[in-house]
Amino acid sequence: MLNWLIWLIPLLPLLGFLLNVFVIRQERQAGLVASALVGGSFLLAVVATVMLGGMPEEERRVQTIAWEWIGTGTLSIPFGLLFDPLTSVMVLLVTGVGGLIHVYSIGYMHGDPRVVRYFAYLNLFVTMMLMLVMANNMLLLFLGWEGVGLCSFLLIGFWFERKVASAAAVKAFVVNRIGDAAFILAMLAIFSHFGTLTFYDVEVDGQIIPGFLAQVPNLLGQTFGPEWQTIAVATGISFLLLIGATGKSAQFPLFVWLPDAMAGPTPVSALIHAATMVTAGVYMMARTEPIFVASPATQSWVAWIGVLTALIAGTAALAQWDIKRVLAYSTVSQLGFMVAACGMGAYAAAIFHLLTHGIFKALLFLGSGSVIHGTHDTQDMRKMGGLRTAMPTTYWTYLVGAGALAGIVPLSGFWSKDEILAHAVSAGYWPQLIGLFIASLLTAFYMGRQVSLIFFGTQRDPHYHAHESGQAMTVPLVILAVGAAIAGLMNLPTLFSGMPAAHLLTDWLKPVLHEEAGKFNPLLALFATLGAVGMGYLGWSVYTRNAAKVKVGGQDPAYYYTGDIWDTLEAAWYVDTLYQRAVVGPFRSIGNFLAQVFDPQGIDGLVVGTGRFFGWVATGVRQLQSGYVRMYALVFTVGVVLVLSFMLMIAW
Amino acid sequence: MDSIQIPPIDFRLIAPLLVVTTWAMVLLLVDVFAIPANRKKLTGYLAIAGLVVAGLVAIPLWDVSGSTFSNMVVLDRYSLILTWIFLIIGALTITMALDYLPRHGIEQGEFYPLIMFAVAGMILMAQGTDLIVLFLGVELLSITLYILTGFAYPRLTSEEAAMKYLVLGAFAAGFFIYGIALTYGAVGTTNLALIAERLADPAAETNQLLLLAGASLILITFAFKVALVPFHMWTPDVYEGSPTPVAAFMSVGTKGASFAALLRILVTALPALEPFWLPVLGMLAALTMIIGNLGALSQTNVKRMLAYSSVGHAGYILLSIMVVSERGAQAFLFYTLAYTLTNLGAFAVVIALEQRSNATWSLDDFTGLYKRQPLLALAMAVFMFSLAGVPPTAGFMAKFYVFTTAYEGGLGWLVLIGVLTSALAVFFYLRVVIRMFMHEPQGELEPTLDRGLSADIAIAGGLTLLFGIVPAPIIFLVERSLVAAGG
Amino acid sequence: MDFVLFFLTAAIALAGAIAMLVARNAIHSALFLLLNFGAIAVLFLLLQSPFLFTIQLSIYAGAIMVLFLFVVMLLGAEQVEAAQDKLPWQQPLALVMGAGLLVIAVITAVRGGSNDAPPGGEAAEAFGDPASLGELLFTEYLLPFQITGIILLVAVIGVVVLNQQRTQAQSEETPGERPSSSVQP
Repeated sequence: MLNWLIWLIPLLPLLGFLLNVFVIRQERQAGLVASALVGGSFLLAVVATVMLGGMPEEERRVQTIAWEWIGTGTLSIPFGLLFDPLTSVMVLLVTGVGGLIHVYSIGYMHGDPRVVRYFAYLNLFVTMMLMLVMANNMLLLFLGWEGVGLCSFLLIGFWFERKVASAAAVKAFVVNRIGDAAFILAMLAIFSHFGTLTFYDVEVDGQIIPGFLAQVPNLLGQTFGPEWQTIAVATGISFLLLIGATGKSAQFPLFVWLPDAMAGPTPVSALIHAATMVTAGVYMMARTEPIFVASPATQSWVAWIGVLTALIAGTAALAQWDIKRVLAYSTVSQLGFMVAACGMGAYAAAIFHLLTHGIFKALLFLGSGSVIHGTHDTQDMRKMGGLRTAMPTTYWTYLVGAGALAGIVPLSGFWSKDEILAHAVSAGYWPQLIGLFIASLLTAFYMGRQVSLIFFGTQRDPHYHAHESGQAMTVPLVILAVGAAIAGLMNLPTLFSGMPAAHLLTDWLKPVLHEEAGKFNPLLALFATLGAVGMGYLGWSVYTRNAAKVKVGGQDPAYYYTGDIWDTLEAAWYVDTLYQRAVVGPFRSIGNFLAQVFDPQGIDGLVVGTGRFFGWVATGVRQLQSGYVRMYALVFTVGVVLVLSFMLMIAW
Repeated sequence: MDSIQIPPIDFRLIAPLLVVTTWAMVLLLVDVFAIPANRKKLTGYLAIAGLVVAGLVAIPLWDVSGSTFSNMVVLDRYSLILTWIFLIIGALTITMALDYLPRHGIEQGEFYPLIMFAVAGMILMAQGTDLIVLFLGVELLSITLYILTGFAYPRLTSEEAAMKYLVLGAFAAGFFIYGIALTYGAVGTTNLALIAERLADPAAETNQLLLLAGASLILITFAFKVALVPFHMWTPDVYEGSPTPVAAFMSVGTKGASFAALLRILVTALPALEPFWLPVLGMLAALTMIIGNLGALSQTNVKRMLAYSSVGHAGYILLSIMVVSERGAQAFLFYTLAYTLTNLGAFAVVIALEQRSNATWSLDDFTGLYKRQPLLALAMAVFMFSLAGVPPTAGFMAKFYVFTTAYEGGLGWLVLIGVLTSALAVFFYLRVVIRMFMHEPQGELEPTLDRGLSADIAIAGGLTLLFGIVPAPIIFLVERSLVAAGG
Repeated sequence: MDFVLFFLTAAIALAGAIAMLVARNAIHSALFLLLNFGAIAVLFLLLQSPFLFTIQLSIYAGAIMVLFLFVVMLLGAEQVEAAQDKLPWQQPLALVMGAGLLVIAVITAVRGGSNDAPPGGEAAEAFGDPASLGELLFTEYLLPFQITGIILLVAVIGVVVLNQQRTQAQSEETPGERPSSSVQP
């Protein structure tokens, strides 16, 4: 029964997508149908998970094949789904949080002229995300991977009337393509070394297609590369996968697209750019965990990239004024936590944090959406203040989310973050631990700052009349707030011996990740709690006391202490600027140069600002694609001479 | 005096070719004498019927193989599958042109038989096993295309394009002939299988230097025909100048047929020279992938953009050709099919947006297309993503197939370039998508969608998606066309 | 004797070809081409191929050349206008490339031992006579022979198609029938 049941899970949202594209023309219907179908998916996922739980632990892996996707002599890739404990929790997150965000969207997007299209995209996204987490092979995973990227692109640029929106959409897609290229190369490498792309052994038409994860030990000792510097194959593959993950999960140095992606509608930021899509990289690393474990070199890269990202994004979040950009950098930072956890071998902890973060970050984004909605599209926190009286539900739920993110006992974020830190302690990753600990202090501080700026003090911009949002928006907020508060229960550490229901999640994931639960470290938990409470209070009090000084164009109260560093933080350590100068600029110059030299007939206005050097060269040779036939013949002849002399040279 | 003994000929083996040529010749007469000037579409329908008949005639040949005409042509499954692809190309092109020609005031009945002759040339290139026959196939195709390129006269760009193509084509033909002569001088035969035999035979005194020079010249000619850098310079100008259906036909037909012939030459005649041609083709492939995709980056003219994109795709196809193995040939066939459908579809959309006068093929024409014609915009998005190699489209499957094959075949560094350039390529394909979905329509440009175009776009779009989601049957079919030894 | 004759005719053929390229007057060019054709015909004769010799003379030097001259004179396009060369650096580069190509050709010819007969052996005694040529065309080269016919047919169609008066085509150039799109160059 499970065999066909799991097919329905991605098919329902797909049905919603098709209906919204081809049938539905009315706003009301679109929202209801889309939400109902995703909700149906969620119910099915619950049923499937319960059924999975009813099976013996070793057998908890269901694979069903729809058809043989690619079948050549050596390569056989089935179009098949996989349902195992790891997949089940991901599916529950995607459909559960996704369903709530769909409901929320009904209220948030009310009155938008393209709302049907919006729900179509949203449903397509859920379908693709489910494909991603349910794929039983790398290629299908990649299909979902690209599919969610596509939907993300479409949704970031949804309000394309705003210039920034389409620019941000393109940026997201192009940056992600770098990661995707690495992912494809990793697939090729996996295929050439294992001859298969399926994760686990699976039977198709009576033939067993072997899975590659079980064969990873064979890689031991295999190397490639020049003789003076050989590289272990496992390192090569895992490193390529890591690059893929840095793109999708917005890690250093490819995180620059995520803050810009906030140009999309806020529910989209919540669903795609916080709760689900951006966690795909972490999920993929957990799924291919044996390859990463086989390469200590990559593992340490993973850990350090995670720590570095957590720190950079955490500091950048301190200095943002846009309510959503704070959350965006915070997301990047939390993803850094998860990646770092993977790098330290704590995959179960990473998934735990992924789940809790998915819930409380969705809550925070939806809360910010409610604030934006209630203040008539104000996003600048300098124009807010004192909203707690006008928007009580939003305020209280936001407080829960902020507390969870900051790591306040006993909210969910505390438990998941603590699990990661505790693992760092017990495995002896001291430098990484310090980095992550500082990052978590930063988290508490900027959340304190944000809560203070939005909800405390007095309203700084009198131009709007703040009001609470409607029920379609507040009900999901309340549900998510409850979730954010109690989600820690799913993986409590063993606080005292003989404690029931401890580390449920780690045990549930055991068939996939083979991990033992970490030990609870009371000292660390104490420090973390004190730090979180202290820094949170500090952030709150600094900005509440100086609330009057905050105004558009004015300096941040913290500027007094930090000085010009504040500018550096606001620009996220100038990583984006660096790309603009070092990559985009020259890239445009080259494009322009090529256009001028080879093809002056088709220069795009997009490519402006040629470097002087290129301009100088271009005037000399720009007539190459001049339309003169003799010119073409000459180039042809040059080619002939080169090819001939090369051939004859070898023959000599 | 003795009478000449004509050797026995197995006409079955060239049945599709025979049908296409005869039909075309008869159609010429029918067109002149039986079809009134205002009913020229009828000629087009008859031409499509001829291509369909040829396709049907080919079906019973699935289990037939052999060579005839003194081993000058061969029938095998490789050539049979290519024949079908070429017939599809011809039929789709004619469908596109049915209303395009009258709309642009350039309707002449001869257009349709000419397309059939070009298809015949392509089939000949797929079936030929002798350098002379290959040369004649290339010429039959090329001469037809020179005429078709200039078909939109007195539009100056069309005439100019035809002239350029003719001059450069003649230039290349000279190299081809000289290459054949040198090859003959070196091994004493023009038959592909015999060349390999002589090369493998230590007793035969082959002249390697001459052969190398000859082989290089032949490679160069094909490099020109499929537009490999630096022999690609004609592509943007010619595509832009020729009537759009002809550009569509050229972009997939010439490429497919030329690569088909090149593959057969490399596999059947010159496997012994692999150490020599492999690095040369490797360099060309790398250059082609890089320059082709970079060149497309800054184009605002969609036809020129597609021209550069076709240059880039030639590089990817070349990867599969260079792996002289069964898998390589399969990858080539699959890529050709996928690319054919996708590119023809994309050109069909361009035609739908082409204005009768003042045609600039500007990217701006696509602005806000989703609002005006949602289905057309969706189809174009599918084609663009397929060309860029984004799943779940045929283009992605094809690229994946080619890259895995090339990677297995030891062309790792070329695969790296291929993956990186196709990551880059997404940028300019995406620009079309952005214009369609993320801009409000401006101006009053209304797409003209006649029945032929709609059918083309529907077929191409549907199959592009289908082969992306369920490619297995096609791959299965392609796999059955075993070509490793050219037999 | 053969050797001397060969070099003489070859030199004439080359000189004719080059002169044809350089001549500024179209009539002169055509006449130089005639010289080249004639020399090539002699080369065929030297290779014991009387039939090709006759064909070369009668068709190329005769029919085609007369047609060329006819067209040139009819159009009154004798004089090539000395326009300003927009690609001044192109010519020297082309010369260098041409020289490079020549060097490669010579190297292959000399090192490749092109004086030797191809491995297939010397040509048969009666190779060049019309009967044996005809026999080859109807036996071994039957298919290429037929295809050549089709190619010629296509060329003829091309001439006809491209020279037809197109009545409705003229209106294509007049804009304004439809509202043109808001495209900018």
